[in-house]
Amino acid sequence: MEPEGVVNVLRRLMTALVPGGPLVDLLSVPPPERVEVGGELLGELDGSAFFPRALAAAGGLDALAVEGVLVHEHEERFPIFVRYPTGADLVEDVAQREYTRMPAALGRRVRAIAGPCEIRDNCLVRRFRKVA
Amino acid sequence: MLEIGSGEGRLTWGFAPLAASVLAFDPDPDYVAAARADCPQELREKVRFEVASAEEIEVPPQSVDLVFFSWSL
Repeated sequence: MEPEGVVNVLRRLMTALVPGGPLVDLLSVPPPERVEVGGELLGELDGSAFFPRALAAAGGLDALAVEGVLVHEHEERFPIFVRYPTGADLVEDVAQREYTRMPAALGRRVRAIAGPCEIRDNCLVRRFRKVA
Repeated sequence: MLEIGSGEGRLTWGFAPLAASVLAFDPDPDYVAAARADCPQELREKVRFEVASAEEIEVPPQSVDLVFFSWSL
């Protein structure tokens, strides 16, 4: 969705929220997701097509805060780990995604992993409140 | 509460017990079907999953106490 479209959608959705009600936004942020085995880094996924879209969308909430529709109250960064039984499972899961890609060389290495492995995703959660 | 981007419901199961009711949207019909199928029995009365993107959602004005966007914008 284009940034202007995001702001318009958000503005419309905000009418559903009661005055003073909270809005929580959870999103993935750079650096790119890491593929790890037992805590050891194997490589990073290619988020070059994903992050511009995600961050532009997040900017829609910032725009509403600037307009005075929302107040930004709090934010926290934290990792999320998605665990897979084998490397092939991880590769197949990433292949389903629309904007994040597995670099070919990394994909070959990950597919060869017979045991558990994981993706570490860097997340940001932000809490806003609708101005009464 | 209103959840946008509910996916297969993996986060919904965590907060739904604390909510009076949850209206959850995701644009992927496969995810919504999976969430409906996996919805715990004790939550079936209070959680409703619907297929819609953020652009398509229609909710009455001032009808929700909390909005949650999960990787959805």
